[in-house]
Amino acid sequence: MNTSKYTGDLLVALRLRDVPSERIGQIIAEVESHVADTGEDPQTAFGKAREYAKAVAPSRGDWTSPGMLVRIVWGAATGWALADGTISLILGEEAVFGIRAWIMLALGVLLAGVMIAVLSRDKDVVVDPRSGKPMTLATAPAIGVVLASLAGIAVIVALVLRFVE
Amino acid sequence: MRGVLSQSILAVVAHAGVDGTYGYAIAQRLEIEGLGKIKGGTLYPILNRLEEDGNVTSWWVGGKGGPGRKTFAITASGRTHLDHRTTQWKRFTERTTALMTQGSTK
Repeated sequence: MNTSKYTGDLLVALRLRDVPSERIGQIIAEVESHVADTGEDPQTAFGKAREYAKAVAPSRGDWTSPGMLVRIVWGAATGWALADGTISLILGEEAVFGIRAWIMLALGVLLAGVMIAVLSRDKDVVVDPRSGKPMTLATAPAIGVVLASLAGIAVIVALVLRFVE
Repeated sequence: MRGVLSQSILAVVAHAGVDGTYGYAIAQRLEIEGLGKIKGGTLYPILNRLEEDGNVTSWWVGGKGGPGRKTFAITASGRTHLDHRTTQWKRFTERTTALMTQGSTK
């Protein structure tokens, strides 16, 4: 496998395990330099990206860890509240559970605000320890993008359910 | 066996002294010493763990045009740890060798 494809996959796997950006830079630089020295295929030398991420960051959880589940639920709830609040406001109706439309929308905005504040706290840039410069890696979604996608899905589901009623 | 491998790697790093050594060189040394071919996927988690435990320290050499290499060197506490484990290992192998020799016809 092409090295930059491998390190791209590795980045995703490490992000999903909530590994700090500084550590990610170290891990990826190690892989790149070792592969450069040995001339080996990275997947042959390090195993599948997801498995290596587990080996090199064992104490970190993955999708099934409590922290990650909280984030998934939060993202979904945010999307739902924003969608349901907006639609209810437009249609002049109440949101689910008889909540006022604007309250639901305000709740969505609040949940989104907290999510954004927490996520921007993480330094998302991965720095190459060899050069001190940001690493150019094959694109990989940061956690924020993943959560935004989940929120988007929740929006679509909310819309569908609203118009099916 | 993982513990033995970790100690072997630590021993190779110790042998490099203050200047330290890097991943590929460690792997080559282990192979020369007859311990087989170790993959990067096995080596680096062990080196990282050794560093987490304070037995080795690391730094990047080169980079900025040249190839950067992560260099590992043993720490003072790493030497103490290695000495202790080496004594334990010697004792263990002496005893098992004696035991096996008793039971074996060789």
